[in-house]
Amino acid sequence: MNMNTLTKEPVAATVARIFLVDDHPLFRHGLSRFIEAEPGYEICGEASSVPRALEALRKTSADVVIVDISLPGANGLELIKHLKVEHPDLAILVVSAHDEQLYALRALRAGASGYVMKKEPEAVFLAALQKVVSGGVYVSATFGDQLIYKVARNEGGNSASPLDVLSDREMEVLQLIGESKPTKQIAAELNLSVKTVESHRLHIKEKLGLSTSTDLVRFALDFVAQQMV
Amino acid sequence: MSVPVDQSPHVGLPVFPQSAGPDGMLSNAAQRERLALAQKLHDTLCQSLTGIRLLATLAERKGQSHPDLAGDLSELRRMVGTACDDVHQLVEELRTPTRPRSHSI
Repeated sequence: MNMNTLTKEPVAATVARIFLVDDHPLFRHGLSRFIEAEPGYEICGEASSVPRALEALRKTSADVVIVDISLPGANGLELIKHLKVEHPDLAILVVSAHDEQLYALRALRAGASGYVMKKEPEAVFLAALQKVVSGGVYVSATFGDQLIYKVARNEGGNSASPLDVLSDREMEVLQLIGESKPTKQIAAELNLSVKTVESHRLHIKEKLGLSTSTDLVRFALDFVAQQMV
Repeated sequence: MSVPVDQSPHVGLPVFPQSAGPDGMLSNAAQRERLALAQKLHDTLCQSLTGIRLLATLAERKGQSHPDLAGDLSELRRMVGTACDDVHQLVEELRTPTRPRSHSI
C-alpha cells in the first residue's frame, strides 16, 4: 500500500466529519455505515448530485468530502473545482469506479487530496481516508510510482495518455459519445448548446488526430470500455 | 486462426471493427450493445454490490462477538464478495471485443 505524501495542514478534529457524494444509494448506504463504524469518523451528510452536494455543504461543515467521478448532470471533477473555490480548506477524496490511470491526476489537479478505486479492499479505502483526513495525499502505489518515475525523467506530472490533452469538459463529451448518445442528448445532459457540443467534438478530433466522426466514435467506445474497473 | 484487431494509435486499445465477416468479430452494432450492457452492469449492479459488500464486512466484524451468528455472517460476506467478483468478470468479458472461435481442435 502506498502513502505518497505531500503533507499539508492536517484536519484538526478529534472526530472527522465526512460528507458523501455518490449517486448509487446502496453504495452510499454501505459506505456510510462502514465509515461510521470506524472510530474517529462521523457522517455529516450525503448527496446524490453536484447541485445537492453544493447546497448541503453550504449549510453544514465537513472535514472531508468523498466524491464519485460519475455524477448526474455535472461530474465529480466539476464538483471538486466548485468545492475548492467555496471551501478551500476542505479535503476531498475521490472514491471511483473509474480507472485511476484516466482520472487520478485530473482529480488531484482539480483539487482532490486522494483517489481510490471502489474495487480496492476495505483496508485500502480506510488507509486512503486516514491519509486524507490527516492532511496527506493518497494515490495507489502503482500510480504513485508511475508519477515519481515520470517526474524523475523530467516528464512532469504528465501521464503517457494522450487523453491528457483533453480538457475535463472534453473528457465528459468523449464519455457521452462513447455511451452512444447523440449530440442533442449530450448537450441536454451537460447543459450546453448543440453548437458547443459540436465544437467540443471538433476539438477532440483535432487534439487526438482523428480524421472522421466514425474514428471519434470508435475511439470513444474504446475509452468507455477501458475505464470500467 | 486469429483475426487481427486494429490498435488505437492513442490508447493502445483494440478498436472495434466496423463490420465483420462470416467468421470475423461481432458487428460494430453488436459490440456497442455488449459495451452498453457492460456499462449498465458496471454503473448499477457493481456499485450496489460494492455497497452491500461493505455492509456485509461490517456485519461480519460485529458478528464475531455473537458465536451463533458469526458463521452465517462470514458466509454472507464471502457470498457477496463472490457475487461482486462474478459481475466484474462478466463486465470484463462484455467489454472485451469478441474474437472468433478457432475452428481447429
